[in-house]
Amino acid sequence: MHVSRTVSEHVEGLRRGELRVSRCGACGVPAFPPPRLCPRCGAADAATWFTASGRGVLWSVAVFHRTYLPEHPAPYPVAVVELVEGPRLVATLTDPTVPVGCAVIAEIDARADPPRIAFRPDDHEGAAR
Amino acid sequence: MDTSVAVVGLGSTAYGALGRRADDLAGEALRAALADARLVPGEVDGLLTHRVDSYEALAAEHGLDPAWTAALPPEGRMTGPALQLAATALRAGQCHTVALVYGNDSRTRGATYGSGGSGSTAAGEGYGTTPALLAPYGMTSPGAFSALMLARHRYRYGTTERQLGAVATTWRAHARLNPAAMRRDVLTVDDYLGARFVVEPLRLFDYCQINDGGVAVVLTTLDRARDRPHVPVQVLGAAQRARLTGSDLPPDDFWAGALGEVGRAVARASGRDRDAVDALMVYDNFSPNVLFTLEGLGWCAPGEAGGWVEDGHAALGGTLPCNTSGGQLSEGYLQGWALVAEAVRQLRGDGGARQVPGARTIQYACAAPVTSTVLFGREA
Ligand SMILES: [Zn+2]
Repeated sequence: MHVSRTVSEHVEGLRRGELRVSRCGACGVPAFPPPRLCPRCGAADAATWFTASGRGVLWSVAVFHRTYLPEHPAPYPVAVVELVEGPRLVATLTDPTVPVGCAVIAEIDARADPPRIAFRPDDHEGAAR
Repeated sequence: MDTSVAVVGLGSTAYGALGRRADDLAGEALRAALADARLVPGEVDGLLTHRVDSYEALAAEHGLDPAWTAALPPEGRMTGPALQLAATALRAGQCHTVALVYGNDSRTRGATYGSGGSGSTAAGEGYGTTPALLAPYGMTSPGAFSALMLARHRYRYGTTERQLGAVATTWRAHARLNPAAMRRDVLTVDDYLGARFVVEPLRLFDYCQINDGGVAVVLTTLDRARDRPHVPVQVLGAAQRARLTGSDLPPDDFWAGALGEVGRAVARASGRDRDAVDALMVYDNFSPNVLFTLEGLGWCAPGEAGGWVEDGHAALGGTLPCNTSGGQLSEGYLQGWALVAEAVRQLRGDGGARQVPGARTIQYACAAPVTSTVLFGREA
């Protein structure tokens, strides 16, 4: 079940406070995590990394009220955010009451282990769509 | 030449906390299915196992030396594909009688579907193809995946908690007519709303049971099926469509594209369209999946399934009775196989107090990263 995929660039980026995601270097389609073959153009191992703006829209959020793992005591929110550059990713929220559809911006906790992204409402929100 | 195939044998164990291993339960179900079909091992030349640890030990203990063998990984999304695969082998003449055998000991193993795992338990417990992007945030459970989909569905369409609760209460009313169901006490909407959140917006009764049990089904060609004791329940069509690319995150369309495609495929294959379907057995690992499936198959417009269920259309006596056994929320979670068993029982007329009168065509559907549907029916 646990297929390994190369996301160390993403994780190492977070350690530096940068949100690194990938797209196909051949055709430009958003592709994160990086695939071995581009689903659109078929280019092999062609993903290129770039630093995202951190702006996006809250696609959905759910709140764990059950503790499944001791390192994640409930309650805590799990968010899916769609970045303005296209990729979607899982993250946490600074405030679990942020509504779905809200423009959000990433805050990176580079010193956490592993480093984590928390999104907060984006007051400028010019990036919302 | 008629290449139709039909279910001629059905076996199931009790569902619950049984303290027995999956292969033991699968074996009991297999023996029951062979007895139901009045077949001896030498008459079975195909074997498909699902969530069984050792197909080899299972075959050896039951005297099976098949001409055709397949063993599928433990995810519940494989149940429809299992039936499709076996039916295809029969139609191709690669074998003539296939036993499909499933066993589940997740209750005895203490599965939580969210606490990690290793080895043979990882498929049920681990989550996603890229844990490095999920685990740091505590995104560990398939229930959370469904909760994210429901929260999105709410945002898009305004689906209410009472509407979702109608799935659990409707199924429970069905389970009360099923002596084999695990949960048969009354469940009201107030009970539903008063229960704790597990992963909000999902509450306790939006989750399926976690239990042990086994189910086995014997499929054969229609000409052979006519010689068996039960009325043949034909596999009229089966189709699947994966959405595995990006499957770590919920799909934007609630799997409607895949569901529409497989629904049209089985209607084409069978010559029976949606109006011919007398009941639907819908994969309800979590209750939001019921709404997505009803919408994706076209029973309801996008966003309208919650109100449709709340208005009673999915209840016995309604437009499209669904999960007449109580489903995985109330009867037991056999990863689709107990729903298949219920389809067969209904089409044989063995539904007892929950029988759908005159049922001729029943659809099984599972919305998942591998979406599938199977259309079962008696001869018209
Ligand atoms: Zn490309």
